[in-house]
Amino acid sequence: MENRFMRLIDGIIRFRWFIVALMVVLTALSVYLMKDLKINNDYETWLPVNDRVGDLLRQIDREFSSNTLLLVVFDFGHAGAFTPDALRFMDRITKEVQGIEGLFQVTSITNVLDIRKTEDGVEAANLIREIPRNMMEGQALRDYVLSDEMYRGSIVSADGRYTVLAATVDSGHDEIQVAGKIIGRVDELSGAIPYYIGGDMSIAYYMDHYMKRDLTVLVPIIFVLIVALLSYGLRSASGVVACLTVIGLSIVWMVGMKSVLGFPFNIISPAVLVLMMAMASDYAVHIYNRYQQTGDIRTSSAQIATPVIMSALTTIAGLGTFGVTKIIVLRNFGIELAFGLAFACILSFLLITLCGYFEGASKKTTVQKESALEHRIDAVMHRLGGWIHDHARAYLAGAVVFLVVFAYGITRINTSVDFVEWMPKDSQPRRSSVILENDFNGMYRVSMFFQGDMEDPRNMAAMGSLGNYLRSDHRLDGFMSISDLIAEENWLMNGVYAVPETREGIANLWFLLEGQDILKTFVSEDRKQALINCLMNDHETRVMKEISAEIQQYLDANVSGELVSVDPLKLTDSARKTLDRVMVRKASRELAWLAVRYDEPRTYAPGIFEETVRKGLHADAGDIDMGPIWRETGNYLENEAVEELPPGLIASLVEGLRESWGSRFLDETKGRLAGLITQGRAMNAEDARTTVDGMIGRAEHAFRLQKASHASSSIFAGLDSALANNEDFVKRSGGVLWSLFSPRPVFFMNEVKDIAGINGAITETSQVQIDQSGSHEMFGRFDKLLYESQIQSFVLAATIVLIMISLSERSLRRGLLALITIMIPLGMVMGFMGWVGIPLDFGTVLCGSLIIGLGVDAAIHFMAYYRRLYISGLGVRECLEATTSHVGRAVITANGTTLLGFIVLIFSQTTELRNFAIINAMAITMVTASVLSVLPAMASLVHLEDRAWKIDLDVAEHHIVEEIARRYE
Amino acid sequence: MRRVLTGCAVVALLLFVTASPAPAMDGNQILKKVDEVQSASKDSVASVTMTLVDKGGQTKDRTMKVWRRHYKDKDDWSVLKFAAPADIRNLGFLSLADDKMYLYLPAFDRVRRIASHARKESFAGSDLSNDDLSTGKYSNHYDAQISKETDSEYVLELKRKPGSERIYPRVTAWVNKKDFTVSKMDLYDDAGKLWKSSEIKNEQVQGYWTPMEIKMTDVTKNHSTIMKITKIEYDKNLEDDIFTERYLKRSVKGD
Repeated sequence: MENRFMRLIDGIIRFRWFIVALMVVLTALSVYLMKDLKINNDYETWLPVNDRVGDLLRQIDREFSSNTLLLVVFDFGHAGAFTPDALRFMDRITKEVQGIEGLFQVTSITNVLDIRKTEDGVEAANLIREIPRNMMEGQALRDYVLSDEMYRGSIVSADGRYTVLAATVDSGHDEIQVAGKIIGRVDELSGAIPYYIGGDMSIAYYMDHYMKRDLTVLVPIIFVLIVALLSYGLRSASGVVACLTVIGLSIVWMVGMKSVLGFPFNIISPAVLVLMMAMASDYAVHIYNRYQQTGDIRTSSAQIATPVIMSALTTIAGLGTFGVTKIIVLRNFGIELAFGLAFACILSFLLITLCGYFEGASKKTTVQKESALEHRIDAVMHRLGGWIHDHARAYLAGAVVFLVVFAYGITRINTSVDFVEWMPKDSQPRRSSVILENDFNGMYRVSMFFQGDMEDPRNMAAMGSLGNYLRSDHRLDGFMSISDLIAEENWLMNGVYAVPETREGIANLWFLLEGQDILKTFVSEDRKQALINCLMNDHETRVMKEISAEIQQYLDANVSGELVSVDPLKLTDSARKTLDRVMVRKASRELAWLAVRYDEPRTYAPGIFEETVRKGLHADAGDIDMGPIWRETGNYLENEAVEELPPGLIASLVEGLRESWGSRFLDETKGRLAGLITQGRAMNAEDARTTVDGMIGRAEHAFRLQKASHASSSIFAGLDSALANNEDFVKRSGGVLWSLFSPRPVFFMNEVKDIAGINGAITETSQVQIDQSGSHEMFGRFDKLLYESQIQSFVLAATIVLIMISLSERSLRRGLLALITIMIPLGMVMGFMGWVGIPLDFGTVLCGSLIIGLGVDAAIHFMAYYRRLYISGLGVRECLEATTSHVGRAVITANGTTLLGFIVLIFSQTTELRNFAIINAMAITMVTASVLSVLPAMASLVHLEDRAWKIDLDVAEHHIVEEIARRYE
Repeated sequence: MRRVLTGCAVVALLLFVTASPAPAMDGNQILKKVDEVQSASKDSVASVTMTLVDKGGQTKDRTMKVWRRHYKDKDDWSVLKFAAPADIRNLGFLSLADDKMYLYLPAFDRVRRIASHARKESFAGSDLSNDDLSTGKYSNHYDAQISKETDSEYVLELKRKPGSERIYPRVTAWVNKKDFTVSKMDLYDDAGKLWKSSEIKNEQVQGYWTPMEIKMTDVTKNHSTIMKITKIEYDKNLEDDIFTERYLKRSVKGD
C-alpha cells in the first residue's frame, strides 16, 4: 500500500506545476462561483420537496403568501392605542409600510376590514373611517373595537395598550429584504414609541442577522486560535502557512461547491465554517508532523497516507449520512462539510508534499525535540495505559454503570423545533413572542385549507362548522375566513349568523366584500381555494403536535370529500327519524364546541344539548309565537314591494298568507294571493307574482328565525346566565340552530351514507378537500423528521464506519470494538441531554453522526499503532502503555483543535448553535477519553490482534518498536 | 350612464361638443365643458361588459345594463343592474343626486343604502370604487388648472374643493381640445401617490361623444378593469320611476 502511495507522491512532485496551476484555476473558479451564493433562513423551505406538509405549506404560501407574516407590536403604554395621536401614528405608519414594494398585504387597526350595521343596511369598510378628533371619540372607538372578538387580541390587545401591524410579503419577493425595509421604516417613524418585531418573517430576518454576526465574530476568533495552535504545534512558519493554506483553499472550494450544488447559507453555516477551520488542518498537521519526524516528504506522506485517508473517509462517511435526512438544512450541512473535509484531505497531501519538496531543497532535517508539556503528557498517558491494563474489568464495569445511568436520560430527551427559542433572550422575536402570546392571540398561524368551489353553499357551510370546531380549542384564536365574514354580513343584514343556503345568497354577500384587500389572504381569486386562518397562543413543539394530532383526528373521523344537501321529505318516516338524529347530534356537538369556547374553563358534552335540540327541531307553527312573522310580512308589503300597495290590500294579503300557511309553497296558494293584487289593479301579473314570492320568502325567513329563537330559549334556560347572555355565543349558536331548520340540511356524505334511501333524497352535491396546514404542521413535521434524521444518520454512520474499519482492519471484531468505544460516550452524552434538558434540535441532532465520524479516527489510530507494536512481539501491557502514550498525545492534539472549534461556537448568538457546540464539545472530549481508556481496557480483555496477519514494518516503525522494546527491557 | 362607464366616477369627462375651444378658457371653464359633454344627452340606456384582469393576466367578465338620466344643472341619476354572471344577476345600484347610493341584493330581496364611508371601497371587485359610480359633476367637486397645453390637448390638474367627499384629492386629466373628451386620467391618493390610471377610447354615437372603452388600472395592485359599451341608445325618454328603490327590484330583461 505504501508503495502505491509512494508512486502517487512521486506523481504529485513530478506534475507539481500542473497541480499548482490546477489549484489556482479551481480556486479562482470557486471564488467566481461564490457570486451566485444566496442566504436562506426561510425555514419553510427546509422541508423537503414531495413532502406532504412541506408541499402544502408552499402551495398555500404561493397562493396566499401566508408564511411570510411580519408583526410589529406597538406599545402605547397606559394612554392606550385609541388616542387621536396613537391612531394618527398608526394611520401614517400603515400607509408608509403599504408603500413598500413587494408587500402582499398590510393590516392594522386603521385599515382592518370592518363589517358594520348602518341605519339602512350593512357596509364593509375600514375599521377606522375617520381618526377620532378627541378622547371621547377615541373611547367610543375603543369600546366598539374591544367588544368585537374579531379585533380583540387580533389587532389590539384586550387592555387596549398594544396594537399590531401585520404585513405579508408577496411570494416571489425577497422576504428578508422586504422585512428589513419594514423594520427600517418602523424604526425611523416610531420615535419614542416602543415596538416589537415578531412573526415568522421576523424569525427568518433575525436568523440572517445573527448568522452574519456569528460569521463576523466567530470566524476571526477561531482563525486566531488556529494560528496560535499551529504555531505552537508545528513550530515552523512554512508548516503554519501550508496548513492555513489548506484551510483557506478547502473552505473556498467548499463554498464554491455550495454554489454549484445550490446550497444557500443558513443559520447553521457559521458552524460549518468554524468546524472547517478547526478540522481541515488535522490532515495537514498529521502529514507535516510525520514529515518533520522523517525529514523525507516522499516517505512520510506515503507512510501517513493510509491512516489519514481512513480518518478522512470515516469522518466524511459520518457526515455523508446526513445526505439521507429529509431536512434540507441538515442534509446540506452534512454534504458541504463532507466535501470540505474531502477537499482538505486532498489539499493536505498536495500542498504539504509540495511544501516539503520545495523546502527539502534548502533544509534537510527538521526533527524537533519534545517539549516539556509533550513529555509530561506522554508520561501520564503511559501510566494510564498501564493502569487501564491492570484494572480493565473494574474500569469497564464502571463505564457500563455510568452508561446505564446516563443512557436512561435518553428517554427524557425532548425535541424543540421552535425557531423563536434560537434567538437571544433580548432579541426582538423573543420579546415580541411574549407579548403576542400574553396579550394577543399568538404569532404562529394554523390554517385549514379548503379546495373546492367556495361559492357553493355546502362547502361554505362546512367551513363554518369546522370553524366552530376549532373554536372549541382555547389554544387557538384570531379566526378569519370567508365563511365568517359572510355569516357576519348575514347576521347584520338578516339577523342570522350562518352562511346563506343558496349560491346567489353567498354571491350577493360576497359582492359586498369584493375588492377588500384582506380577502386575498384567505380566498383565491378564482374562489376555488380558501383558508380558515387562526393563531396559536403557544409555541411549544409538544403543544403544536397535540393540536395537529387532534385536528387530524377530527378530520379523519368527520370529513369526507363529498358534501350533500338532503331533502328529508323524500325519505321514509324511519329514515327521516334517523336523519333527524344525525342533525340533532350534529347541532348539539356544535353548540357544545361554542359553549366550551365562550365559557372557559368549563367543559360541555354534546349530550346536554341533545334533548332540547330534538324538541326544537320538531316545533311547528302551533308551538311558537307567529306574531312577528305577520308583522314582518306586512312591513315587507308596505315598504319593499315593487309598487306601493294600498293598506287594505296589504291586510288581505297577510290574512291570506295566515290562512294558507300550511300550503304556502304551493303554486295554487301563490296564484291566489297574486290574484288579490291583480284584482285590485295594483300591479300587473308579473309584478304581483314577484311580490307574492318576496312576501312568502320574507315570511318564511321570519318563521325560521322564530323557530331558532324558540329553540334557543329552551337551550339557554339550562345554561349559566353568563354564557346565555354572551353575545358571541348567542349569535353563533343561533346560526347553528338556523341551519338545523334548513329544508335542505347539509352533511358530509359519510355522516348519512348509512341512512336507507339517502341517495334518492340527495338534491345537490359538492366536492371539497380539507387539509390542515400552518406552523403547527410544519413544526410537527420538523419534529418527526428530526427523530427520523437522528436515527437514520446514527444507524447509517455506525454501520458504514463498522464496515469500513472491519474491511480496512480485516477484522469485524476490531470494527466492533472501535464502534463500541465511540458508542459508550455517545450514549452518555445523549443521556446527559435528557437529564439536563438540552433538547434534540437542529443543532444537537448533528452530534451522533458527526462524533462517530470524528471519534472513530482516534480509534483507528490507536488500533493501527497497537497492532504494529503487538506484531513486533511486545506484550499487551507494554503495547497499551506505548500506544496510549504515543497515540494519546496525537489524539488529544487532533481532537483538541476540533474541541476548540466547538468551544468557539459556544459563543454563538443562537441557542441552537450553542447547544450544538456544548453537546459536541462534550462528546468529542468523552470520545477522546474513551479511546484512551475504554479501548485499551477492552484490548486487555479481548484478543485485539491476530498475529496471523502479516504486516511489513517500515524502517521508522522498526526504530520506534525497538526503542519501546528497549524501554521495557 | 356614460359617466358610470367612463369610470363610473372616474370622471368620465367626455364631451359632445365639437366646437373649437375658446382661446382664453381657464381650467375651470374647460372642466365645465367636460361636464357638459358628459351630460349632453337627455338620457341613455347601455349594455356594458366589465372585465377584471388580475396581475396574473386572468380575467373575469361581468355584464350589466345601465340607465342614466342627465341633468345640465344638477347631479345625474343612474341605475345599474348586473345581467351576468348568474349568481349576481339583478343585483343593482341606484345613484341619485347628493351622493345618495343604494344597493339591491336580489337573493335577500333587500335594498340597502351605501354609506358615504364606503365610497373608497371597490365596486364589484373592480378597480373602480363606489365613489367612481357617483353622479356628481366634476366641476362641482374640483378646481382645475391647466398644467400643460399642446396643439391637441389640455392637461388639467384637478384639486379637490374643500368640503367635497370625493376620494381623490388630486386628478390629472388629458382633455381633447377639439371635442372636450377625456383620453386619460391619473388619480392620486391622500398621500399624493399615483393610485389609479384610466385610459379612455371615445366614439360618437347618435352625435354624442361616448367613452366606448375605459381601462382603469390600480397601479398599487397591478390589477385592471376594462369596461366596454356593447350597445348604447340615447334620448329614450326614461320614466322617473326607473330611478327608484322599488325599480331596483325588477328583473333585468335581456342582456
